[in-house]
Amino acid sequence: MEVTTVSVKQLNLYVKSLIESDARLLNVSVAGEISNYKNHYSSGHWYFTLKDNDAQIRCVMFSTYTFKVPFKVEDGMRVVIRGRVSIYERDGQYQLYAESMESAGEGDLAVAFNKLKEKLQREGLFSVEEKRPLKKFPEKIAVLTSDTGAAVRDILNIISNRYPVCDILLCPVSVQGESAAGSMIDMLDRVYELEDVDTIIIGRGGGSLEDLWAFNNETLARKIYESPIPVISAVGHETDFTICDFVADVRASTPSHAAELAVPDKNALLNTIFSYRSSLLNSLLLKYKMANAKYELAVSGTLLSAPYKYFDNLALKIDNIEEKNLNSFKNVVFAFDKRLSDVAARLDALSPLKTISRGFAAVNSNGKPIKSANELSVGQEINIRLSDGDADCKITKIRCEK
Amino acid sequence: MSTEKKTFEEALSELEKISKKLESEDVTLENAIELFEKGVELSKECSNMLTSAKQKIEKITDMEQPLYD
Repeated sequence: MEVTTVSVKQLNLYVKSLIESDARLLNVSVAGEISNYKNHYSSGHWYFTLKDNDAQIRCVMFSTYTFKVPFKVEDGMRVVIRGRVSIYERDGQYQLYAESMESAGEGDLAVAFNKLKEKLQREGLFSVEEKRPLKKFPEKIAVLTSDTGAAVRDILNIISNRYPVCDILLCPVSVQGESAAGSMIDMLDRVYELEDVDTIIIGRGGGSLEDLWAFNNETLARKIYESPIPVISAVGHETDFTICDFVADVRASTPSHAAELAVPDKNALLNTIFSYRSSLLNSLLLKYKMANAKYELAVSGTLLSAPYKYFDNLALKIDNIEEKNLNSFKNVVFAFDKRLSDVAARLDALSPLKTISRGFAAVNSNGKPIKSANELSVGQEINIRLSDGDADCKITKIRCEK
Repeated sequence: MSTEKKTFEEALSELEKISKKLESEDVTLENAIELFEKGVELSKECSNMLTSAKQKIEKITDMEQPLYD
């Protein structure tokens, strides 16, 4: 018999017609556990895998049916699905088109998970008092994850960008499958021996309930609980919770989030440093202004008003201070400092107190200085100022020389 | 990491202390200049640590020999 060559589409359509011609496949009822559940964000269609111990089948439930499901669907849920079997010809994918879904109790994994969770909770492994704060400025972070996944790249990128001061110790472990929990436990033992590790991040990227299952291992959970170093768990996505998340000191929703929690942000720190620098400058300016104000007060503002203005202008100039300006500013401040002391010395020389201290006195009447004997009259009350005090006197006799 | 070298945390907290001290009133002008210089020096040190940090990435291997990237 001669074989006719057909297109892929023709082939898929033919197999589809075969399947759809079987009436038994048009109305089936299948029991299994939901896995890899995804709710498509725009269409509202549900995509998931229905599985039991030995086999699995791809399933889709269109949004025309999903709204009739009276419960929230989650991975690990045991359900009975009624629908039809067909082929999605674009992908050649044989699948179950679900039309209704009934809950058939929790799946085995979910039961095991809840049992372990309750047990450890009763033992106090999750208690808030046991949680330690993370080191604010860590110098070394140990990262336990697969060295081939996206998680390790995300964590490295974020820590390098946010806080390159911190060194990283990569600890490659298996995060999925039979050997995963053991591999992580062995690695933790090695990291616990190290003295310079400040924080541990343990985790992996997203996956199905089965993919994340190693993080629900009891021995691993206890090992994390015993850690001498604060631990951040970062398993899967925001909606994934594992036993490790509950025993860790901090739970991060994703590996990237863990990296953000582990180190401070460089830019925020640079801002803080900058504000300290401005505060140093402002404090110094204030000190000079206060010193200046004291001088001004002493000489009623005549001699020093000019440098004070000069200094005000200076403050404006350096409002937006740059590092390279700091040195020139310092020179100006020192120059001003010298000027202040020069002025003070001149003031000192001019001061009447200097003259008085040599034995001369200043004479006032009603607060006005008396400069001539002609200004005096007999019986007038005057005040004599000496270097260490003053006296009130009454004129008894006047002798004018001119 | 050598022990003599200040960590970023130490440098930052020293900068904070100096900044607070300079704010307080009982610092003489002379002292203020000194604190100011020290503070500016520290602030430079801190930003340098952040901007020119040489991050070290090591890897634990089965041979127990650290690899340096």
